[in-house]
Amino acid sequence: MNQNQLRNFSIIAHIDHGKSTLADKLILSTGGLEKREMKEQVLDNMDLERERGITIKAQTVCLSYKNAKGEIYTFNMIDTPGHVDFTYEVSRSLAACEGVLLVVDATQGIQAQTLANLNLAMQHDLYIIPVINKIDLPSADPDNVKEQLEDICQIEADEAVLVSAKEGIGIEEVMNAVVAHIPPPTGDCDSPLKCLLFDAWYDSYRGVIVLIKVKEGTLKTGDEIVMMATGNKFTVEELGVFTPAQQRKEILRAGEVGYMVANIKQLDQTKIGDTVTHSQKPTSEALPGYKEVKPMVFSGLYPISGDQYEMLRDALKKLRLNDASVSYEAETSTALGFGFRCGFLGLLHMEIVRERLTREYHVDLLTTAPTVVYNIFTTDGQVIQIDNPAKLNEIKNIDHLEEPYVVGTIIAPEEYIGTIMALTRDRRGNQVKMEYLNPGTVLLQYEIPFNEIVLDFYDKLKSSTKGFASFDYEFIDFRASNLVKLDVLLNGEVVDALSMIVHKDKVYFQGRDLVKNLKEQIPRQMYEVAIQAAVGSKVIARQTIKALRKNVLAKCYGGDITRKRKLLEKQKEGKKKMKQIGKVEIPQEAFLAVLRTDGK
Amino acid sequence: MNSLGLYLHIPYCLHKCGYCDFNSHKINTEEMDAYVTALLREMAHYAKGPAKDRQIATIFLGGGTPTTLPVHWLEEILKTIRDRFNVADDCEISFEANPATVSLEPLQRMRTAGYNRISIGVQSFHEPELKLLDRIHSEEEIHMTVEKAREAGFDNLSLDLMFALPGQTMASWEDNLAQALSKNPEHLSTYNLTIEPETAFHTLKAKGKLTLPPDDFQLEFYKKSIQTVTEAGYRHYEISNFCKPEKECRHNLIYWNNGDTLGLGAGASSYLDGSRFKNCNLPARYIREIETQSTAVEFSEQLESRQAMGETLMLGLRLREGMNIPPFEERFQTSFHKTYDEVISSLTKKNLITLDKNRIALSPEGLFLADSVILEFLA
Ligand SMILES: Nc1nc2c(ncn2[C@@H]2O[C@H](COP(=O)(O)OP(=O)(O)O)[C@@H](O)[C@H]2O)c(=O)[nH]1
Ligand code: SF4
Ligand SMILES: [Mg+2]
Repeated sequence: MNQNQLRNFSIIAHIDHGKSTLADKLILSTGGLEKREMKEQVLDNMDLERERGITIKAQTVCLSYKNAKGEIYTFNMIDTPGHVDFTYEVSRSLAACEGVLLVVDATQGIQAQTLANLNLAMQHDLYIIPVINKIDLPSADPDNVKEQLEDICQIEADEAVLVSAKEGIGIEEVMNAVVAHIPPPTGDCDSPLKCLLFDAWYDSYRGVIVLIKVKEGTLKTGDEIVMMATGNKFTVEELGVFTPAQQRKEILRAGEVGYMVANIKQLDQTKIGDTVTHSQKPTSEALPGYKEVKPMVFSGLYPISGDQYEMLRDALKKLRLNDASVSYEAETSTALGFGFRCGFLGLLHMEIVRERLTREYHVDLLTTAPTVVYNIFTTDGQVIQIDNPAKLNEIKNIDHLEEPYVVGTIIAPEEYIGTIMALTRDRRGNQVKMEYLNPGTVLLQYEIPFNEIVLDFYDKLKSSTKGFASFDYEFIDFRASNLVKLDVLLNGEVVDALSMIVHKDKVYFQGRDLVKNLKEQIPRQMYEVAIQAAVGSKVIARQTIKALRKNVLAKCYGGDITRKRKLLEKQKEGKKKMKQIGKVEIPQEAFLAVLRTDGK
Repeated sequence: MNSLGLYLHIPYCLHKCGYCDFNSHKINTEEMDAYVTALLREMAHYAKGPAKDRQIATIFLGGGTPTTLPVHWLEEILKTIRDRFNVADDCEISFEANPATVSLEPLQRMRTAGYNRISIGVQSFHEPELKLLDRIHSEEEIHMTVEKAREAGFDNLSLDLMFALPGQTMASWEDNLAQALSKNPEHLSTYNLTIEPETAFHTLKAKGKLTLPPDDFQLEFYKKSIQTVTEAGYRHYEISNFCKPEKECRHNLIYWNNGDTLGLGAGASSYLDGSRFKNCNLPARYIREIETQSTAVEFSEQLESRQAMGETLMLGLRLREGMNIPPFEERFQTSFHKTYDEVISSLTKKNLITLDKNRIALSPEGLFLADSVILEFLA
């Protein structure tokens, strides 16, 4: 294969603008899959991806394209996730490419993640082909999108390809543009080997499979290789590409993208971003690699029944093989017993991990409310980072606290400026930028505590702007804030798993909301349950759940028996999923009650 | 030979009451003849097959409103049962009747035919409450029906009442109880109104057009029933049922003791040889299926022993005297105390059950939380 006939590119876009659908059409029209093998968003192959209609993991396919002149090209195409939690997936895919297709929905125009992804592509110096999608829709306004591309993104809009991925319009043009504009990879096949390891996952049959891009040199089956950062050595057993079916190849040359199996047993023997080279005649210089992704959101995961603790540990270990961005560490809670403090990239990521643990590993889980990390400064000059509000108690001589800040970008129709300003003010946001993208559409930027947006900010933003606003954020730094710990007491006992850290100005409202939500979530029990919110020893809000005094079905005759038994069995199932704290039985939902406190 | 309770369902009513979730349909004279024919045919099927050689200890004609059938059919049904089955000499033979559906002559004929227990759906003695419940009878018709039943010779008579109706006052409930007791019935059922899915009341409630009294108030009504009726000399023998000495409804006792029953007719349920099964609800479909295949079972399940144990407790604990432990152990070949060791000690500590060697029963406190207690015993 001649390097000049190779094109490596990613498809990037705001969520739902049609990346996966475009990928489908490219696969179909290059004959990567036959029509009968096709399903919608064929690369979204995890159950969860299919159910939620989102891409979680980037997917790479190798396609063979024959143009009108009869020239044959090889495309390595990577479909990427759009959600902000998975930005790192996008970022590392880009390192294997020379260009991107920037898909923009013609009815929506540029959105927050369009910009975020575009910035990533620019940082990687990639050639950008704008693709204006969904032109089949009556409300499509491609000219407006073109203007936005030129004004906001400084991209030549002449080159934009008009497409309906759904209807298959403009697909040939996309492929021609890829050939014409995206530069072929460079790199010398005879230089010492230098490959970027940009993805890896665990396959229960084959062990670890890694995706690589050969930057320099040539890699063959049977070669002895070394991973430069870890120093681990392996022998290459198999090389190949996904078409999307696995297709073996004996050799991968400079510029090519493919997979490698090398008898790697554990995922932690590999490091995403590492440089792979030959152990004999290695390259002198490693690639720059990636910034490590750090979990941003933490929560406690506890088995509902204590005897599933080992199962949970095992499940987390296995899950991490496939998702290195999850972190976990054993912890104990007075209320919940033994569990794990887990770190996630964001709330969506947390939900997905939680769902995979229950679904794929059959552990009944209780998740505590998500929290961000805080820096605690002590009077004797130490800085301690905590990822669990309960840990604040263990620290003496606290001088002050710092919390993480992000810069949040919101793009919305101008009529919502007032609404957005009110919402962000409420969340302690500080506006740093306001710019018209074109008449009618405005971009707003805020420096805002991560704590204030991590839970429900996006939902609130969406609902208060009728779904028109898009949002993206990026971590900036830690800043000192006037924060206090809000505790919850059930029948007088502090439930550590319900503690949260909140801003002092909001603590009364949040405390009041929290106990109210808890009252709604905790079913009546045989005893009265007092719920209190307290700061230190001072109770700031209180609710009482009256004891259940009557729970008896009036009738049970012949025809009712089966139905009634099934009803009770179902209740019993629900009860088994509750956690007993002291005498009080608490359902999972109660631990997430904070998700719904907006402290207003 | 094992005896059996026989239930027959007559799925017709003059009108559908607002709270009703029974399998009841509007009367339809043409269909009703075909229905009884089908019922007799289904009876023949079981008498020759699955229920062969069983002695019938009790018979219960329920509904719907059985007395919407012409009386000759009611006679015919009982006659056919006697022809087909071995009916015990002291068989309790009950039927449900609604005021406004019976007069003296048919009652006399039924009594002569052998029916020996009547259960009258009174629900309330107060016109506004009857109207609210969407019942079609008047207070006057209640008095008449009771009087005629006595005159026809029914010396085992039961009345049904409902409490915790929307807007009902305690005084109204007390008066209802007093009026029922003044009829000197052998048996009295008092039911807490519940809103079941797919009823007219359910829709009203969802729309906010119907509000039940708060739980605590409902409980006060219930306590009032127990106090008033027991003080009048009745025995509180099941959650919602009271009777004079030895006037328990023997047919229902079979259910609560989780004994074998055969249910015939549309939507009727059976429990035979460890399996529960149920006929289809729709009378027209029932008729069609019986005509073509002699049975109309649409659901059946063979219970695992854990489920059967759960059911036995669920039902047995409804009885005030509770569940008899030795037959339970005999039936399931297990030690009751060992199986439920933890549950028993926690419930005893909470004072929700009373327990001796041979019986487990709900304590007076446990009675009000019966379902919570039962839940503990389910797997
Ligand atoms: N009308 C129309 N709908 C499209 C088009 N392309 C994608 N969609 C729909 O947009 C939604 C999101 O598409 P998807 O490919 O999953 O977007 P992704 O999140 O960017 O991968 C799906 O419901 C698609 O069917 C198009 O060209 N026209
Ligand atoms: S009389 Fe009884 S069965 Fe008939 S509709 Fe009313 S409640 Fe239902
Ligand atoms: Mg997608």
